[in-house]
This record gives sequence, C-alpha cells and structure tokens, in this order.
Amino acid sequence: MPETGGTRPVCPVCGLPITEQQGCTECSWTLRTPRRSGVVSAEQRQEFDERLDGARRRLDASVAAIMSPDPQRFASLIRGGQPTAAEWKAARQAAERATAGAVTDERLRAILAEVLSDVTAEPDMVIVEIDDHGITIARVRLDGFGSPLLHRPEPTLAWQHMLPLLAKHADERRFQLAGGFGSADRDELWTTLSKAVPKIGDDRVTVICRPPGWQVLDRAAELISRQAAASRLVRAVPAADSSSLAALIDGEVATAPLRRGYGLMVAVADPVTKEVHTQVRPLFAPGDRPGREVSVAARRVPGDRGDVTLAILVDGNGATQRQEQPMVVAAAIPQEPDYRISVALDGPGRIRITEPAGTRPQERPWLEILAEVPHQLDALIGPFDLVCAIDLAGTKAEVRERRGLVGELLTLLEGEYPQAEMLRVSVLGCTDHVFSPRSDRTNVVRGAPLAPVGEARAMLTGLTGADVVYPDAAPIEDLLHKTAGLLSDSHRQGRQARLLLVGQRTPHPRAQGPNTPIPCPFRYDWRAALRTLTDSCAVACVAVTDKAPSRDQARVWRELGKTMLCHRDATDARQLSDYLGILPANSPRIPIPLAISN
Amino acid sequence: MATISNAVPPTARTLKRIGVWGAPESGKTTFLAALNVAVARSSTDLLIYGTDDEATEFLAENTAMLTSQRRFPAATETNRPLSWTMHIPSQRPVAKRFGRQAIEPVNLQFNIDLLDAPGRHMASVRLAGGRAGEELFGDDDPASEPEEVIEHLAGCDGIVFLFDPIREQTEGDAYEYFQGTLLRMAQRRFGQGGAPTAKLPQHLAVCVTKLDAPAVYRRAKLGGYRTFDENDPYLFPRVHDDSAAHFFAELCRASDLGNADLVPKAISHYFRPERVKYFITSAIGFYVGGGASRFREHDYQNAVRESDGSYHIRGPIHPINVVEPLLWLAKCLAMDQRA
Repeated sequence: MPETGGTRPVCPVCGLPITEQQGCTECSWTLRTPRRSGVVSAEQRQEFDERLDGARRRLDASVAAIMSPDPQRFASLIRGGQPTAAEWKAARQAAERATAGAVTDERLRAILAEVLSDVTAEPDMVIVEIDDHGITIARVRLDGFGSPLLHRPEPTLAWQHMLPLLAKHADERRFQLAGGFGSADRDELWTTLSKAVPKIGDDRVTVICRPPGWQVLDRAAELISRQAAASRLVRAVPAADSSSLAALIDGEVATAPLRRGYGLMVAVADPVTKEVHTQVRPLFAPGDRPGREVSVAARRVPGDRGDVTLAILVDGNGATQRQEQPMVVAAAIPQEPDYRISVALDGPGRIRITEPAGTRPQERPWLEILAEVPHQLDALIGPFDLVCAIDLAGTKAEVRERRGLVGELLTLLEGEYPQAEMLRVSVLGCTDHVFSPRSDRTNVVRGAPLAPVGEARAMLTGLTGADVVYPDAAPIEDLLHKTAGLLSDSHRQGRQARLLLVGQRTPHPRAQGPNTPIPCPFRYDWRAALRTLTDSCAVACVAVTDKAPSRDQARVWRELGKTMLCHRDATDARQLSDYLGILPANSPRIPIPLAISN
Repeated sequence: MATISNAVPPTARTLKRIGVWGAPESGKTTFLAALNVAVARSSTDLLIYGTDDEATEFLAENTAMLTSQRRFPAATETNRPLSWTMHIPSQRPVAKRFGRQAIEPVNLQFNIDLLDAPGRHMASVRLAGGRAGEELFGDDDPASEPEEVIEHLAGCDGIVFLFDPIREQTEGDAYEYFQGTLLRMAQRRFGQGGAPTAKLPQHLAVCVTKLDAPAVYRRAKLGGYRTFDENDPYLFPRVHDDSAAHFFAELCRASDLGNADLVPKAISHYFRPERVKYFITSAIGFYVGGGASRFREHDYQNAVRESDGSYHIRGPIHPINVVEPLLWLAKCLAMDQRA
C-alpha cells in the first residue's frame, strides 16, 4: 500500500489517505478485501496490476483531459499507459462536466467591466487571480480622475513557494494542481494550501479562477472567497490568446467609459468689463469612451510668447477649479493668434494632448500658476477697428518715413491678427487742399474701407506722396471726418476703435480766425469730428508727429493725440501697438488658455 | 507823381504830382497793380491808361499777375518812372448871373507820374540784407536814386502813404521808414530859403493796407469799425472813412515791436489836418468762392501762403479803397488848382 513520506498509507490510485473505509472515498478504489488463503499467483498479481493501472490511467486521463483536449499533451504523466480511445472520450466527457459553468473569455470581460464600474472610493475592490502560476492579488481603487486604477502591491505568489510539496517539474506540478496528485499526501496539501493563501481582509473580493476544474486552484479559490464578506467567485476558461488576467483588467480599465467628466481650465475675458475669470471648459462627459478626441478653441493674447499651462480637471462632484492635482502640462504657446487645444482620451485617467505639440510636464505648482491669472486685462483682445490716417504731403523723406512707420505697424499687427474678424484696418492718406477756385472743393482724402490687415498694407503701398502746397495746415480735419464715418458703428458692434494719426501740420479750422490758416473748404470741424470719435465712437487716438511741434501746433496735437502723442524719432511700431492698446506691452500674462467665447 | 488838369477840353495841363510812400513790402506795387482792377470794378466812369509803353506794360503785366496768375507782383528793385493818365468825371460849382451858382459836370484828367521806388530807399537808415546800420544815402548807393526819390516825394502835391499793419506786427519798422523820409522832405521844403510854413503843403492819403488779412479784419470787426455798403453786391466789409483815422491810430498803438504810435502824431505835426484823409484798403480784397456770391465771414482769406514763403491769390480780386484815395487826391488837387 503506498505511503506518503512513508508514514501514512494512501490510495494507490488517487493518493487520498486511507481511512477505515474499504474503498477510497474519492476514487472508489477497493482498499480492503477479506483475507484469502494461499499465495498470490502470478495471474492474480497481473490481474491486480492491470486493474490498478486501469484505475490510475482513467483517473489521470480525466486530469489530463481537463488540462488539455490533446491526449498526447500530458500522456507521459498518465500512469498505467496510454488511455484507450474510449477511456479518453470518457475522460473528456468527465472534464466537460467538471468545467461546466466556467465563463468564457468574453463573459469574463463583461464581469470585469461590472466589477470595475462598481469600484468606489472606499473600500478597495480586490481582484484575486488564481491560475496555474500562482495567486495574484490586484487592488482597484479610484484615481484622482475618478477612474479605476489597477494596483498590484505584491508579485504573484507562485505555487512552488506556497506548496513546496508539489513536484519541481512544471508539467508535473501543473498536473498535480489539476488533480493528478499521485501519491502526494492530500491532507498535507490542503493544510499547506489553507495556510498559504493570502489574507484579503474586509475588502470586497472578486476571485477569478482559471482554468476551471483544477482541484488545487478551485480549492484555493474557495478558501479566499470564504474570507470576505462580499465576494464573487468566477471560474473562467483560459483566454484563447493566453493573455493574463492582469492584461485583461488593464484592457477593461483602459476601455471603460468615464465615470466623471473631464474639463480644461481656461480663462474667459469679458469684452466689455475686461474682467477675467476662470472656468472649466468641458472636454469629456461621463460615459465617454477612450478614443474620443475633442478640441477647444483658444486665443493667444496678442504679443504673448510665453508658455501656456494646460490643466485637465475632473468635473463635478466638488472637484472644482481649485482642484489641487489636475493633470498639468506646459507647452510653448502657438504662434498663431487663434489656436486649438486637442485632447485625446486614451482611457480613464489617461489624457493625451495632441495639440499643441511638444507638451512637457509642468514643474510649477498648479495653484501657483492659477494664482497668476489676472483679474482684469487693461487692454483687451479686440476685436479692433483701426484707422491709420497719414498726411501724405511733405518731402519725399518725410512721407516715406510716415508710411514706413505705418507699414511696420501693419506688418506687426498682421502677424497677430490675420483674421478680419479680430482686426480691421483702413489706411487713409490726405494731400493738401489747393486753394484756388477750381480746386477748392476737390476731395483730398484717399483710402479704402476697413479690411483685413493684409489688404490695408496693400492699400498703403498705393498711397503716394505729394508736395506741400499749403504749409500752414494739412487736411487733418478731412481725415478725421472720414475716420468718423469709418468707425461710427464699431463701438455698437462691440469692436474697439483706434485711430493712428501721422503728420506734422495741424488741421484747417472750420472758420477763419485772426491767426488761423485758411479754413477747410468743406467746413469740416476737426474738433467736432474728434469729439465724435472720442465720445460717441469711443475711439482711442494716438498721434505721431515728425518732430516736436511748435508751441501752437503742440496745443492742437495734444488734442489730436488724446490717448498718446509721440514723435516719430522716439517711437516704433511696437510702441505704437502698445499705445493703441492692440498689442499691450505690459499686459499681464494669462498662463492658461484664453478661451474664445462660445 | 501825378499831373492833373480839370480843363474841358484840356488844352494845357498843370502838373500835379502824387507819390506813393511806404515801407518795403507794404504793398506799393500791388496797390498800383490793383489800381487797374479797381478802376474796372468802380461804378464811376473812370479811365486809366499808360502814357508810354513802359507804364502800359507795367499796368498790363501786374494786372495779369494779380488776376490770371493769381500772384503778387515782385517787389520793385529799381526806380522806374511810370506815368498814367486817369480820367475822373466830376462836378464843379459854376457862378451864374445874378449871383446864382450852378453845378456843371467836369472831367478831371490827370497824369499819375509814379516813381515806383523800392521801399528801402525810404528808410531813415539802410536795411541792406535786413540789417540796419549804414546810412541810407551812403557812398556805395547810387546817389541819384535816393535823391531822386526824396526829391520826388518832396515835390509831390499829393502823397499816398501806405501803412502795412501786418508788417508792423512782425517788423515794427513803420515809424523808422516814415520819420526819416519825412525829415528829408521837410528839409527840402523848408531848408532852401523859402518862407517856412508850419506844415507841409501836400495832401496826404493815409492808406492802411491788407484789410483782408484776418488779423486786421478781426480788429476792425471787434473794434466796431466794420461797416457794409448796401450797394455793394458782394457785401464786403469796409471801414468807413469817418472812422478810418481812429482805426489807423488804434493799429499804430497796437504795435508791440516798433514806435508806430508816433506815426499819427508825426502826421498831425507835419501835415495840415484838412489835407489828410485816411483809407482802410485792400488791394486784393476778400475771397469769395466755393459757390458763394458774397462775402462769407467764415472763409474770406484771399492771400494763401505757400511752402516757399510766397503767397498766391486764392480767387478773384476785389480791391477795396484803392481808387478812392486817388479820387480824393485828384479832387483836392483840382480844388487847389482852381483856387
């Protein structure tokens, strides 16, 4: 009679320790028969051996059939020789019965999805995977984005370590795990197993046991399931692609729908009050699945060349804009005035910024960045209507420099405002009134309506200069009159109106005075036109003179350049854009995206 | 200088001389050039023509300069004796039988012999290149010219004295030019052994020029001197002759740079009051254009400064009080001749 370790007799077929029973309680092998007299004949011994081999072969075949449908796969481990076709067929039928109820791979994915959707903040959800390698414990908890996060604090507990009495050889050990214990001490095996299985605690437990029907695995699964108050035991067939359960869970986590919405922190500016506030612009809604990509339209504050910080926050559930740990990256702000921020959802908690390119982790604390968002932008972001009015009369050098300054300004602005909806420009030029009966009432202003900056630049090149014919005044009043017409609707349309006046001579008066130049032939009143511009049309007026004007001229130019009066030698296009408030030099930066209003 | 006759038909002429006197750029040449236009625009049946080709050429050229080219005549650089004949229809009282008197028409015909002298010859000191210091009649100056000019003025029976209030505002040299010439005229009149009288015998038409200049017009307006002639189709503003003397005195007092306030006193000291009359004039007049048919208060300046500092005339010229001083002088001289 076989013995385990030479101490306890066991069933020669299944290895179950022998009790007082006549037959094995597990495999029904007859363990005791009445004594009979006489010597065991060779025929009797042969008959016994054949019967024992058959019993063993059938038992082992049933184990091998659970492990593999291929009769040859574990044939070497089957005692008693190669099973007959009938025996193998019976073994396979028995294996099917033993594994009945095991879930398929597809069903297992669904179960895992249910499990993951049931994860709450507390307590952790524990998923125990029991397979032919050992026992692996994974904890699933919610990350900062409210997404399931798979956490494996310890490596897999391997069978050879938990059950050292098992065979060293992998196939033999696996055969034993499936139930081919041979002569191994079954009691010791179970005792060792019960001590070796990990303690899960009070967490909710889902036990995944696969392959099904393997006796050691099933027993371990039972042991672990019994530990937890809320447990779920799932027996599953092995994956067709042999993927591990961890990979399966990762896949489910990665493809699970969002439990909470994600948003991008942006700044929004009020075009009237110029106040700036922050808000979370929704990106993804609960239920969105990975693979979705969304964009947010943003605007670079003109002149801003710094970095922009992109912070993805979880929406709702009190995770407000002050969320301390959003996903924060930084990127160089695009050169385009308007740009898009495109975000791809790779999975819960996994966001990929596809635009702008070149993101990098933001090393500065998020709250510090958030604190830098200004409460107000003094010079806001348009849209603007700009009229550049130039006195085209003068020496060639004077006119060239006036046009050059305006040209530089338009080139600068074109880079910042290529679209007409943000900046429209008109370039006007005037030549002198000719005081003669035939020419008195000739229009002296040339120019074009408000248009995109590029068209205005083209218009500028077509404005040629002329000689001064009346040195005491220039038709500035005609320019103002024309400008008032161009900008009359800007304020009503929510556009900020600007006037840049470039010249040196002062305007003709409306009426003759004792020491005034000849009045405007059209009787335009430059002060009235200026009042219309500054008061009714809310136009900011910047004036540039060739040089420091005389005392009398300065008094007039100070009125004309109500917002700023400067001399050409002491300014440049960048400063002018600042004076005009179109590209403010000292405007506080907005470190997060400035969203375009919906 | 002018020669004048009131004979009908004239059989012999007693020459009477009218001289034009004024500081440089006071508008002497322009005044004379505008005379032809003033004659043409006058409602009186006046007639003027040159007595020789040169005078005719001068009149034609400068009239065209004003009206067609709309330019001011260049300042006179050399002495040019010019002479025109002018006919002025007038009336005179005639004694009838039984002690009665009748008025009969008379055609005053006189020659204007003008020595159109440059203004610098009339200064008390030379102002070559704008600098004072050398005597006017220094050795390097052709002696004949200043002598001729002073001789001319001293021998005049009537004088048109042009006072430019704009120049006085900027240069302040009216008295300087006035008093030097006046002293030399007095020297020639009283210093040759003749019986001195208290006053110079000439009739003096004091003409304040450039009424069209905004500064002058505004002062006339604010001072209450401005009047309008209802018979003037253009309704040009004027200063009535009755208040012209006061306006002249006010302009002289207003000079901040020079001593023009001394000019009225000098006139009263050297000339008999009844032989002095004041006229507020404008050679080119006020601008009327832009479709307007009469004077417009808000836009009347007719002289337009150009980038090189010169001026051009904006529209048609309407001389104001240009012919009137000569009419007055002619009448005065005719009365003298009859007496």
